[in-house]
Amino acid sequence: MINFLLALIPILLILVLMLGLRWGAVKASIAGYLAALLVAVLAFGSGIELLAYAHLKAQLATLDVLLIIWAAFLFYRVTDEAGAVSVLGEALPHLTADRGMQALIIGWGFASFLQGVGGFGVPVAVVAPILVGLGFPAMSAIIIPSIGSGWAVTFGSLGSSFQALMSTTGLSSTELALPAAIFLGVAAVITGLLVLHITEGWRGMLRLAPAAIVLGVVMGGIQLVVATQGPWNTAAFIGSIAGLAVSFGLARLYRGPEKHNGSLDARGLVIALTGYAILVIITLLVQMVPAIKGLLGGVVMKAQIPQLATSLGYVTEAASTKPISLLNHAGAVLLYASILAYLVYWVAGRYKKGSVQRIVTGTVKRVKSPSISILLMVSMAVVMEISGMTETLAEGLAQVAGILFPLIAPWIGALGAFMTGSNTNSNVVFGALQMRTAQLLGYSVAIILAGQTAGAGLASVLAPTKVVVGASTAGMAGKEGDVMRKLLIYTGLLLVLISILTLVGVWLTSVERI
Amino acid sequence: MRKLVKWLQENSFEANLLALLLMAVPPVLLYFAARQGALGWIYALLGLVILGNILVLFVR
Repeated sequence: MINFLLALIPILLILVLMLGLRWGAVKASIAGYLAALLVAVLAFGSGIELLAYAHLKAQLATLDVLLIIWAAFLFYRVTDEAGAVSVLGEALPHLTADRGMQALIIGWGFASFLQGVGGFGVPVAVVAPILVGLGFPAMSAIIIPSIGSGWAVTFGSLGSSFQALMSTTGLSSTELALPAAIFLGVAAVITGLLVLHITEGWRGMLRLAPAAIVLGVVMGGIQLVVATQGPWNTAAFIGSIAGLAVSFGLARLYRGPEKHNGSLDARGLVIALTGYAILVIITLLVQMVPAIKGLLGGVVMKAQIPQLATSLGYVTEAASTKPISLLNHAGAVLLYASILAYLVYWVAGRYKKGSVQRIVTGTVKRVKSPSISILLMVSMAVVMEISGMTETLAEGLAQVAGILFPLIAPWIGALGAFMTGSNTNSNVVFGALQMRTAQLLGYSVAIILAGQTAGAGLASVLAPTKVVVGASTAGMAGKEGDVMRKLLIYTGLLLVLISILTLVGVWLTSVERI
Repeated sequence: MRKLVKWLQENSFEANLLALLLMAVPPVLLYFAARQGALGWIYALLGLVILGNILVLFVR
């Protein structure tokens, strides 16, 4: 019990400092990291060598994350400097002037599409500035894509989180995909309604509920079909493309108040969209064409970590760190897209003199603080993982829950995602533990793991690292605590939903066995 | 001490960069120090990482 409470200190500290005292992410993460170090050494018997390896492991995990964030900001600056974001902002009212439909199309459909092909903060980094440009309040501009893309996280990023779940549990997609896709499909419908609630409150939600339900059923349903019958790694991507296609049609039914929006600059719009089209094409080429994937996959960075043990006997088996494939990394793909998009915009005459300097300076300014806080957050998470603090927390939660474990499982996944900033990492850290606990308690492993990954996916948007990205892209750096507080309400609702679905799923499979 | 803090706050970009380097560079060296079992180096390098943290606190 004492160890459980001690292991909780770093997380509680960050929550209290960010949510309660409204500290920025950098200062809060310093406190959390130093607390994790102290607790690991003084209470969990972590030796100095263990900490040394933990820091290297954290360093590589951080690089994995920062490559994407740096490149995402660069891509955003390249498109923004060319005026693409403002052109999109000016063009959208021609499709629909209805604020709720704008939120559904861009903040839900487009953000989910970006989650499907990219992920890790890219949806909020790209979409939040567009929504701000459209006149959405900065807070809503961050919350809408964060909540809106949550359903697409597990099967998004071309399936990396789901792959992690299969790898750590040794189970196949045939066993795991159906319950996970059902949970996330239901979540898709609810996230649409929540996007409307964030945008226009209850009245707007009721007004546009039919559109949100239709789109949610299309996106969630197609994700389910592809995840169970086709290439599961493209399930979220194909689901969101279908949703976008349907949403353009629905926009005709909800055109909003008629007003003169000026003439549409069709050529400018096509040029503006070219940058995003380049991103999509390059992502698909690198991820889906085996020859290109193989060619770029040759340069890999990883380190061999020996078996580590604390003086309390918690052992981390010898293993290689997650390989970082530098040339076909999502960050590298964004970099290629940035360079090509710059060339296209430059040829089209969209840049003024000194654009390169403004793009680079703007990128460095934006990524400075997030880089420091992400490094510290990941370091904290890895120190907690290797010292056994994370496992102590999860075991404690499971013991306390007992027969209510199905209700708790999604929250354990969410805890992992909150700490590591990633659905993938949460599945790696907690997947096997959740499976063992489910087996011990006699529950359906597939249902519990669906709760784990759905909870982690939906809560990953709450991770301080992603909150930092969202806040900085929408010009709310330093107000991460406010953003997190707002996100907490909507994410909490989604987690309660997943908990109920997990409980019902476990009950149904138990009845089946009887 | 007050002068140092003032200088750090006036030169926050350089101070942040230094802090980031102090937090980012030692872990690579820590890996090699741990493989060699060089405890003295590990303590010194971990100290640098923590120094980087403290520096950030002073700058902000």
